[in-house]
Amino acid sequence: MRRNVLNWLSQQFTDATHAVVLTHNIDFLFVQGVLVPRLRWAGNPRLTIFADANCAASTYRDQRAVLDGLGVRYRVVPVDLGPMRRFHPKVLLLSNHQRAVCAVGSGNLTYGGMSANHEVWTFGASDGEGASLLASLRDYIRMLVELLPLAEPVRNDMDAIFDEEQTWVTDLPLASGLLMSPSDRSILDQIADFVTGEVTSISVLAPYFDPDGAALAELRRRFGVPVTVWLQPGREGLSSIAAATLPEGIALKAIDCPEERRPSFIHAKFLAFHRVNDIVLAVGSANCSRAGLLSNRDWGNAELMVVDNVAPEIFREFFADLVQSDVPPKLPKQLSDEPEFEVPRLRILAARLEGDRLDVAFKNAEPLSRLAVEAEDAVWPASHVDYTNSLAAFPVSRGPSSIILTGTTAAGEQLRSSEAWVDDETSLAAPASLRRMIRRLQEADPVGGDLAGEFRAVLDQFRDYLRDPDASRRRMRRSGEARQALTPYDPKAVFSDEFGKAIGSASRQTDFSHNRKSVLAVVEALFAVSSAVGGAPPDPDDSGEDPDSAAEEEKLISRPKRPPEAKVTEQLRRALKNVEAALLESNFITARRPGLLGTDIALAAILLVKGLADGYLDVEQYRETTRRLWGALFFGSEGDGTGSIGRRLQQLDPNKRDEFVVAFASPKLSAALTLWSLTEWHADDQDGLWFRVSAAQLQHRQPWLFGPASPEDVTAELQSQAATLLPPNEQKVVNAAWIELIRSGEALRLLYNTLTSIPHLDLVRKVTAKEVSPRDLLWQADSLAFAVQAYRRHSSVRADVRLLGETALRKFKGDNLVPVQALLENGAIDFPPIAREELVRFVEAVAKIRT
Amino acid sequence: MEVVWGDGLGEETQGLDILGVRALDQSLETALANGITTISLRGRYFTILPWLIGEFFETQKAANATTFAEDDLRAFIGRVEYLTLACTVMDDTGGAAGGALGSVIFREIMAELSLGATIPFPNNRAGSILGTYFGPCRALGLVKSAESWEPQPFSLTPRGRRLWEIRKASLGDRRLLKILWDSETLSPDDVRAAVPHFSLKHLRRAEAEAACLREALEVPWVPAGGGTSVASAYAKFAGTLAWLRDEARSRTLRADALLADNYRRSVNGAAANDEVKIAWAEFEYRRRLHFALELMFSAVCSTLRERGEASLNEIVTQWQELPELPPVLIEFWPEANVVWERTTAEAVASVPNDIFLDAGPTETLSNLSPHARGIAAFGLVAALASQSQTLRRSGQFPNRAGVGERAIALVERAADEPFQRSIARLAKIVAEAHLSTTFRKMAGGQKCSLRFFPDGHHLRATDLAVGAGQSGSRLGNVIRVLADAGVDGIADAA
Repeated sequence: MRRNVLNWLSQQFTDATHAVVLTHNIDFLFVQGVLVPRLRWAGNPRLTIFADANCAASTYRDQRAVLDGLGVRYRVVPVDLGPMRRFHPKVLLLSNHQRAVCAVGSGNLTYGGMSANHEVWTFGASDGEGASLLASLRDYIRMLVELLPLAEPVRNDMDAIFDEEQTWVTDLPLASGLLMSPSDRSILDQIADFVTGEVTSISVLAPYFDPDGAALAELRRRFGVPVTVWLQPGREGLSSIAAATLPEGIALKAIDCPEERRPSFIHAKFLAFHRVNDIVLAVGSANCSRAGLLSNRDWGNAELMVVDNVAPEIFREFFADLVQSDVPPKLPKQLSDEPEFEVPRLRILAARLEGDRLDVAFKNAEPLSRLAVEAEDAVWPASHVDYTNSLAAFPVSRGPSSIILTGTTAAGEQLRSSEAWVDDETSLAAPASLRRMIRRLQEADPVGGDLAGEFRAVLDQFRDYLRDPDASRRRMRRSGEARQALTPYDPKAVFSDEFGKAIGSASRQTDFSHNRKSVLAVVEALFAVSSAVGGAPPDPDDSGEDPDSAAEEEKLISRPKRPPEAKVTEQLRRALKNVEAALLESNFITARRPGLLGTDIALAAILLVKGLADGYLDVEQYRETTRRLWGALFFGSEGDGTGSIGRRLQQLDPNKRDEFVVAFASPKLSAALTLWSLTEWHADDQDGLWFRVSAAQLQHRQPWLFGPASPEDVTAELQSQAATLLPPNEQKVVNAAWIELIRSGEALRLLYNTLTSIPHLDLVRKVTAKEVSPRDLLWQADSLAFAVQAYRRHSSVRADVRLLGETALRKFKGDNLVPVQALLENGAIDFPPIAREELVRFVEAVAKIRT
Repeated sequence: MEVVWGDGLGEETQGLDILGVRALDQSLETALANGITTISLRGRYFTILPWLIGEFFETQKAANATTFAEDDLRAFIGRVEYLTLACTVMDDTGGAAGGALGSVIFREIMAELSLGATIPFPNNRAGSILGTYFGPCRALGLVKSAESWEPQPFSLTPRGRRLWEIRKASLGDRRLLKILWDSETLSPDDVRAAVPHFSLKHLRRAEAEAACLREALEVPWVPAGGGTSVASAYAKFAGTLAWLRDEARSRTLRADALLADNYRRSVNGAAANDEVKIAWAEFEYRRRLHFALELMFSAVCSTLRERGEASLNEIVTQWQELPELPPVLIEFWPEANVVWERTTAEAVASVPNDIFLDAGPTETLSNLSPHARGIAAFGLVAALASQSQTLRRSGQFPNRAGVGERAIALVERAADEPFQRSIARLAKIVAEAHLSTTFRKMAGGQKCSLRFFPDGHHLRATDLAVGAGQSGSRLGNVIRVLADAGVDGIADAA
């Protein structure tokens, strides 16, 4: 039976969340060209590849000029076991929250290992045969992670895969069936444990042997039965000199692939222990060598072999795929030496970038000082070096994709490492659900496609992202390293004519299909990830081949059929509802990391604005959703800023609130919220007025939400988002909306500050008006209020009023309530004209709502 | 335990663009040929396709069809294509018969028709006019894809509708149409009657139809959403047409000769202000560079196939150890024999500047032994670097950041490095280009065209062979289409 391991694995999932590969050799071009695109269709999982450090460094040296996605879309973890030791296992694992499958075998992560060579594979599925292999793999990978420098991000990745919260992990049986090294006991010892009873003979298939055939001899010595060694003509891996020294009882026979022209390289490795009724078969990565079969924890290779009993007929059928011969192969006198890797005196084992900090793990042959990294035209000296563990930290001003490490020896010689890639931890940590959403945005169908359907699919992916446990674990930036404190606008400058004036303008791009790269750019910036996390989509027009007339005709004639209009609308409505429900889920707001929460809300805003601008959402649907979400998240039922975000903030220890705000608020969020609110801001109806009043109170209570940075920073972001999302006529009003929003909140703040600074009786005396209407804003002690009905300002009158943000009625003496408008008009309080206009607008809006 | 042997990732194919270079050549040429492709060879299909679309949907409408009958359209396309082939075969009025769709598949039955036999209309055989000519017709504003979700997948533009009406009027009574729609057989007399309307050789004589196509070829149309892309494409095509007319005054138009002469003149500074001629010169430069890279690639692959597996350094070492170079190479590059003892700078300097300046002897070079091919490829890259230097530095040949640029940079930065190392680096550039291009194509669902793959320190050969060849130009198709349409100044020189 033959099976392509990559095709099979990638067909097992459409929503895989994680992929892990263990390999000796790695071909980065194959990874970026074949593996990553195949995984896109399996759900775009996070991909971590453990590869032999020397192989990875050597291939990277050769291929680096043409690589992309390394350290961004996928992580390669070089495993350095020390001199003369190889990291040699070959495993692929794919999982989601419900299920995992793995393949353990002999193929490396190269075109040869995955397609061209004759390799052997065994499989395990959490819900089927071989589940114990997955349990064993979990143990092996965890052991492996402990050998790594700068292991934390890798550990987090692996913990997420094998987290007990994953349904499939909970149900795993005990680990068994996987023989592993490094271990206290050699692979051969572990096989021997399994091979009980009488063994009649042993078959060995392997492409590589020791120069003196030592492991073969040991096999013969230990089991004392005839050993048949199958060798591929032309690729024997055993010299005639070594063969001559083998003990008796070892027969060498030829075996080959069936292809007559250029037979595939038989790279498979197995040991078969024939017993009377069955066969113990061990297949996997280990060659028939000391390093493969006889090593222990302190020396030799890392290997993985699967062992099990199989029926003779199954083995016969399996083996019949090869052409066997009793004729011994003609062995070469001497084998050409495998070239040794050049091991430089200074090597980079890992380079991890998070924010503006680059951590580097290195290996050096001698003590070094003055460590620095070079990247393109920049040089950054180390800010901290842990010489004991060969770790260094570098503050960097931008994120390099590759670096060279330099250091000076005691003798003054400067050493330079080879170039090494940098892991962009923020992008690598992007969960599969985020990758899928970015992919959806990348692949939004061009002109002629089902654009509403694409938009719905993006909403669905967003919902999945909001509900993804992996996403909620994600850190947006290094923990314990707070972002800079907010530096908002100067309240004194808010009412000047120059406040918030836009600087420059961005080009207009609107349609969802045409400017998806721009929408993508907004999303990438929001999540601080590279679009490469979605994996580059193949460009069908870039094939360089002649046009295929049949394919062209098919594209022209067989277009997808459009679903009925009502169905599209219903699907969109449902998708929107689902997003809303995910955002409003009871413990979502309370448990989500603040940085993530800010990003989630900003993305919700961006998608809604896009949906409205491109016509997928109708205005009513949009406005209803907007009001519901703003009410729940920000305003609270009374529009006084006591939504779930405000409540979460109140529930925090006071000293934690700043931390929350710093992580949550950003110019991106402010800009997205402003764009989101435009429909309400310009609606001349009751709902719009309620929104305006609530927003003013929100801005008064939580000024950081719309003013987390300088006006220049916020308006720049605003313009950038508007240029991507809105048609030109609406781009012009976004700045004005943001300025009004800030000013309305600040006008309220100014009013409160001014009125509380003057003794209440003084205020009372400054107003001579005798009649108060329900449209007058009143000041009572520290609160603003409106009268329920008109009354006379007299001590004998008990006026019913409603304080802003409260539902219950209160009674006050009529002459004790101070009409604010009167104070403004008679000059008792001095307000800048713009602040006065804002206040009047606010008062009118409240009055209209009340009537 | 489920134990299986690994299997291949998918099917294999030879592929045309195995280095990812042809896509660039093609895109440059596409911009100059206003939608005429490498497979759209004949002018008459540009008029037949709009007529076919108009006729089909008109008939559907007349029959009150409520849904789009895909299968009927495919069958109708097949029948029109068959009749067109038959008419071209039976047209004895002279002119070129090449480029008729279906001519290989129906060769035998068409021979019978020529001998006077009545032949059957093939049942349910789809044709390829639509897939081949829709794009070119769209570029000329004759047809358009449907707006999103319109029931009919494509339709005629006003310009295409005019063509349909002209042909419809010319076809007259419905006798021919009835044959086309319903007949199970096609007699020689039926075909003779249809020749004026369907023969590929006959377009110029269908005057109104040809005039309509000429207008479509020369006068820009206005796209619905505005924009300048159509006008710009026509402006470039007009430049191409002007160049061809200019050339046609003194010679017969042959694409390869035109391209070679234009390249020579351009690199010698004779086309300094003519953007279109410079653009065609860049196309030719890229096409030659493409050939040079394929020559190097084929040399690497040939040696690798002999050995089964090897590193690039081992391959180059083997070349170095092989006997003298063939005289045909020495004739072009006298010092090629001693390059192994030279530094790269010396080797590059020894390449005559005018080597391969005229149409290159591509076939001769492709047939050299691998080691000679490798050296010839290096020499060709060096010559192209030298010839194009002025135009590249002035930005007239822009830096397109492709594989070609990497190869040119390699020879231009050559210094004291031994020639052996530089030729290995050139081999590495093409090897990387091959791997990344092929893997990218496989990711896009195309078949595998890998000639080798890396395995540790070595490259391991696959079973696919490779030969270097110069990629074709669509300039020949442009000339043919213009000539078919009877465009002034071209028709008689084609």
